[in-house]
Amino acid sequence: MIDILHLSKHYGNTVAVEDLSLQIEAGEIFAFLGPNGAGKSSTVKVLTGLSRPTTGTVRIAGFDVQQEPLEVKKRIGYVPENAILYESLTADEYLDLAGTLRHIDRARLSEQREELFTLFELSRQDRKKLLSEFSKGMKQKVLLIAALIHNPEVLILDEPLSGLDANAALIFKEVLRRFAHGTSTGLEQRSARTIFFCSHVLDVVERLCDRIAIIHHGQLVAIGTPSELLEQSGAPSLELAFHKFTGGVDIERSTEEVLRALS
Amino acid sequence: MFRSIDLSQVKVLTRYALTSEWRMASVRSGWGRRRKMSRASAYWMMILYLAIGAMTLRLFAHNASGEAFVSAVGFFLLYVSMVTASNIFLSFGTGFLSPDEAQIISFLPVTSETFFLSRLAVLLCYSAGISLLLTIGPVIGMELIHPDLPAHLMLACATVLCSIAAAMGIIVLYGVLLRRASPKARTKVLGYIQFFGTFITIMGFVVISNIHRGVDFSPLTISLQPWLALLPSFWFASLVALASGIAYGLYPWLALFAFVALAMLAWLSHVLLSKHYQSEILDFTVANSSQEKSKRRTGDGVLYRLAIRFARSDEARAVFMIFRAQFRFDHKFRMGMLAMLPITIIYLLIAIINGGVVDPFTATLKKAATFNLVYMIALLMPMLLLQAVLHTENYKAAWIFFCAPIERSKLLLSIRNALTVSIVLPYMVVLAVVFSYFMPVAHAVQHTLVLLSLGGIIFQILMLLSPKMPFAQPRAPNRGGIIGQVAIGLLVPIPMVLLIFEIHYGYRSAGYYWPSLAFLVTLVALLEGAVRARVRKKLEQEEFEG
Repeated sequence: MIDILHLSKHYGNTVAVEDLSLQIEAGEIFAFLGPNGAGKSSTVKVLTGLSRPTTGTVRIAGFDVQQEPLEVKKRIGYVPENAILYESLTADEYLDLAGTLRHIDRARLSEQREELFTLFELSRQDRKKLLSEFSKGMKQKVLLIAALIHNPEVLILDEPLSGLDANAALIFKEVLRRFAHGTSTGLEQRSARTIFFCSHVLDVVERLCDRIAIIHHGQLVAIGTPSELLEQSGAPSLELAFHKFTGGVDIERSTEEVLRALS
Repeated sequence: MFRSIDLSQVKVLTRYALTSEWRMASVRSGWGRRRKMSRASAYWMMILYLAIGAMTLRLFAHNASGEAFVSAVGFFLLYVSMVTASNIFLSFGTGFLSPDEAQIISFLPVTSETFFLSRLAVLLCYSAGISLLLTIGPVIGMELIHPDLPAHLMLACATVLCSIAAAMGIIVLYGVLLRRASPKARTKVLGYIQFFGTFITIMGFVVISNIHRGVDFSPLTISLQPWLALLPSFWFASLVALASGIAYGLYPWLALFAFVALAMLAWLSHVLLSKHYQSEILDFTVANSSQEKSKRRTGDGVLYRLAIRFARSDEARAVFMIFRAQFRFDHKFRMGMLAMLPITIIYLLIAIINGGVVDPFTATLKKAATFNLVYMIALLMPMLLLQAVLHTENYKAAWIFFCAPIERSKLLLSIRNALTVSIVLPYMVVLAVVFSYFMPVAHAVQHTLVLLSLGGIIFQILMLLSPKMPFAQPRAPNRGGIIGQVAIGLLVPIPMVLLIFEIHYGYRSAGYYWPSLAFLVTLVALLEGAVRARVRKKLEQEEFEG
């Protein structure tokens, strides 16, 4: 469903991503992990058409992101890392805008919007408020609804749980699981969906994702199922495996140094 | 050409962009903490445009018929183009080239052409709206004074078309810039274009305003002065000529030119910008990214190290660090700081055109007042500077001021002092040097000292009226609202009146001058106590806006 071939992204002399290749199948929840500045967001920006690759190709649902961007965009839902929205629109208006741009039938749009608002516990009053008055978590809910509303074939999520309250996070994780594996969630269901998931919350990743890729300094350093990664690293948890793959410092020694500096 | 345009998407994008723009203009009116929805600010602007339009009626009344009327229309349209251009340069250009907007849309199935057309539609609606407001007064007034309905209706149409042409001209300019400048240079170049664009349009305003005053346009017709045919506004004015029955000479050709120009601008904007609109704008994000910025020099100069070393408090040191960083890395902030320079040059040029800078110590009050524009910018400078340091795009980073165990009032007082020392004083020294070219050095220095004292009074009054945490207010169009505008409107005349009194009485002799200057300085010092008390009280109560 997502084919990334020899992708590189450079900003001037800075290398964000170097020769990255990944194949992600339909129905997979694929986690894309890495330390800060590893190149995750740069990769996501290329996948969503927000920026152009320096070299390499990306195909989503069989369409090249560079050659047929419109076909790709019709098939993806995206939750960006930073909640950038039209702050002077209401939640209702924003979803109307997103739905209309995706040519969703008005009756269906209204129905889906209603269902998703209820699911994410956004009251009728909230929906009439300007987005500038929303909290970070509420904005995140609006972004999630906008990403799901057209029942996309591929969902690209960059830190989607950021700012969500515990209830909304629980609901969202369940929605993702059913969404990817083909069980109806109230949205029109056609077939299994693919989810490309960037997050730093490793326990969620471990429980939710089928496969995990870890990048460091723009290069792929590990890929496999959670159990495969644990096996490859010899670590007891994904957190420690991640630490090992990304060449983290000695935790014990660093902790002692920090505490010594504070005293 | 139009295959990749989805009209239903254009419709919805335009509708919501207009809604959004209207709310942006309406919301945040007033300086209160709550951002109430209020349309008052937007209505206020509409009334202002209606009033400006009505004021030009005098121009038409002097030249009510024939070719003189057409010439008057030509200059009126030039004026409207200037209003449109300055509006786009000052507030709307950033919206048209906003990376944030492009990011919201870029992952949705919208082609670049569709997005471009929707943004263009918004811009044209905005330009057409302003020009219509400007033209209502002249059309109704002229219909009452000298009835000729076809000509006056055509005046309204020509005004809208000319305004649209001006807007599209700027779009083409942006298109050329995006095609020619490298992504890294774009933000900087755009900033300079906006800066100098505003400079040129303001200068244009002044020139046209000077031409307008009760001028008889009979000798300024295209028949007698063919060079007027070179001004695009006269091409659109020719439409009015045709509607009022003047269909000879160059007029039919110029009217044709008007439509050809519009078509050319539409074609050029499509060729230059439409296809690459989204990707070109998104490149701004990269150019503005921290990765790019981090490549710039960050070393500390001697003056900076000295300022930091001798800062009287930690708060002063902190706020000075931010001030310096903003000046170096935030282009808009830098432009805001330097905005008074081109305005000063314009006003000096006007003074020179009007016969040179008058020595206020020897001139009559009336003659001295002709140079008031330069005095005004010197007096308004504290306000411009204070606005620039209060509002920033990084206002959310100000949480640190609200959380840190600091005396908040010291932040504002320190930034005022930093502005005074680093910008106001050097500016006044330069002004004194310029004045000394036109008058004796002693007079130039004495006059500058008075301006400096009055500037100090303005600074103090502003701080009393609206004390705010520096670098902690969001930058938004039309921020300030009615209360702010009225307060400023009332504030500016006070020092002007004081200046007139000073010129009239204080400049008579040294015996009068020094005591009056001492009075002004004492007033600044007395206000300082009130400012400190007020700032301390208000800032302790201020809430974080982020």
